[in-house]
Amino acid sequence: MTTIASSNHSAGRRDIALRGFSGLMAGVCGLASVVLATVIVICFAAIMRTMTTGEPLHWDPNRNISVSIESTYKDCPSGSAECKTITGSSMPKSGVPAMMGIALVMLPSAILAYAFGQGAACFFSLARGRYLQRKTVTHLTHFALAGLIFVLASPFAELLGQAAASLMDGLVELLTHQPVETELNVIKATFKGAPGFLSGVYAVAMTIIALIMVRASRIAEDHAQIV
Amino acid sequence: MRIVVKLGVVMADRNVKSKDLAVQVGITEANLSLLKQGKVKGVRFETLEKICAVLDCEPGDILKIER
Repeated sequence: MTTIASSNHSAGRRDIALRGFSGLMAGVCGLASVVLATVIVICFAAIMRTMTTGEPLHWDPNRNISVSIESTYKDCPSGSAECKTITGSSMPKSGVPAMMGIALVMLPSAILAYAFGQGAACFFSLARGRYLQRKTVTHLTHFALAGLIFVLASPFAELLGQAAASLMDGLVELLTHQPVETELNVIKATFKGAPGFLSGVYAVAMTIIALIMVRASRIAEDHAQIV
Repeated sequence: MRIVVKLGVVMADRNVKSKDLAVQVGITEANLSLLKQGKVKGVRFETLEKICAVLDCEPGDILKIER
């Protein structure tokens, strides 16, 4: 009897620790999602400003964060095969292609913000003791898939953006009968420690999932003995 | 007080073999053997219904309470 009681007591403490830790992760992921989404919106607004005014933007609040945006486009005069590269000026003709390209460049970051949001929802469900419910599993699946898509897509973000801008250039030329060539700026936004943070979040998630799988395997063993 | 499984007795009365019963009920012979010995954690209503249909008996004929 004493053995059973102490076993139940330690299982209860493990459960409390698991739920507490899941709650903490829910807070971390929720905060990361909100911060990342805010940064994306601010960057997009800053790019729009630079595109319309032509003024470059350089922001280095500390050695860990650096954002640099410069407006560059190519002007192709009608009837001429040569294009001039112009820096520091607004680009009215190629505005739409550039916006589409920049939106695609930012798409992986938006996917990551969504991943953190789903992670927060998953950890919140776990913190409430809903380990094996369908909703929890759905949030976990979205968290994992969005993270995977981010890792696969982010190296190609700039290429995708330039490809989209080029496609739109073709459409604008077709409609306006004027040569248009958009060259995307290299938007440099570096946040030191971000890869480590991302790895840490997913490593903790894997650990929590492993602990829950132990519980699930016990339930599965019990169910196997029901005929 | 515990539940005792009398499935073996009922099967012997009706001269039904384990292999045939397992096939008709839709469970493995191994699980049927565990059920006969009372070593399972539970029985689904669906399984109990099929056993009773094959053996033409009541659930109370298979499951008894031992006080």
